[in-house]
Amino acid sequence: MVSFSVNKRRVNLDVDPSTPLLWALRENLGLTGTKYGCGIAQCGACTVHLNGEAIRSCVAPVSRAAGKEVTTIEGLSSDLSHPLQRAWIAEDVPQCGYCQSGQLMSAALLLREKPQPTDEDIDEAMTGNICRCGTYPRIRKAIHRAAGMMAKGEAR
Amino acid sequence: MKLLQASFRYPVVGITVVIFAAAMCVSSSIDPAEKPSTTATASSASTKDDGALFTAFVSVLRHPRCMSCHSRGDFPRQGDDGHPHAMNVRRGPEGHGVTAEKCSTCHQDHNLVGTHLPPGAPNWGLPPPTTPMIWQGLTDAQICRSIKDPKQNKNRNLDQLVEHLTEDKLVMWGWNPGEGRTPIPMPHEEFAAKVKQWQAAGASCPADTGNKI
Repeated sequence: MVSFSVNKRRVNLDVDPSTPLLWALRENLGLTGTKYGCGIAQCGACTVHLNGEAIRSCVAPVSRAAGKEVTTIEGLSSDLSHPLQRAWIAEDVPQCGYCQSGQLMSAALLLREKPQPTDEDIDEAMTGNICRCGTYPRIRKAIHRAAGMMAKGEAR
Repeated sequence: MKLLQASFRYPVVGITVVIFAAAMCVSSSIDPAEKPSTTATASSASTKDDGALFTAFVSVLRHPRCMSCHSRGDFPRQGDDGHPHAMNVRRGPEGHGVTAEKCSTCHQDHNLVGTHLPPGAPNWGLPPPTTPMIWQGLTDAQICRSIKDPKQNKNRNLDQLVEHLTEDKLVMWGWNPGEGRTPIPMPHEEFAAKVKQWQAAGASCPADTGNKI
């Protein structure tokens, strides 16, 4: 049994402790917003937060989450009101969309640590998240837009 | 835009963070006399070492598994060729990366099974920027002095330094780096014995005419 919190909800899962966290999220908890991409921690599609830090859930065993708090894209906000979600919509960022939940989770940590990031900061923080559609320019614009919203007090 | 790095897909050789001391490891149960190559060096140095005892194990410190995190630049490297770590990973304020690109984002406290999967060990990370322990470009003598200098080695005394070199799990990872990575060739027991011999003989450093890398 592995117990942890997901999006502020306590869960107890009867799974093998070595099961990738991503599997537990998607298959056991039905939180399918987090995607399986490469499976080797190289693309960033599976990014979630563990105690407020990014992890690649495809390679992290669920046992690593025991007693901790996991936040997935579903927990970023319950109503798409997070500045990043609003900015993503405003800039029409996604194309196929597959990588976008991971992009958003990484961007959220960037803005937490650097509320007014430069282009260089964005590149540095987001390089681990690959987008095969090449939406990088729109991702950058959306992060700047979200930063602006937060600076104006529209932050959550 | 450089968000996408082409090197990405095959990367991993892992942040190889081999810590700090990257390389040394000894086991206190090892009798130096059981190691012929080590014994020869030790006996010739007897109680007064001219630095040869350090030189005897410095190849471990210069191994790619160690140099990945002890090379120039505020970023880790990977592979036996020491190419910059994929994903533009940075040292960060504490040696553990930045924002969503921290070491623990991908690395666990153990190696993951399979090629191209991130390696891991406890406390995976680079030396912090305040004591970056950069050995690239240094002579043997300079490396020796730097690892002994408390201002550069996180305030470790000699006993703590030897313990770190010989027992730290992140350092010891260099002998068990996971599939697809070259382990440090000198046996760990031999390395550890040499480090302790060096300490016992006074931890002298060689003259400043050694090799650079």
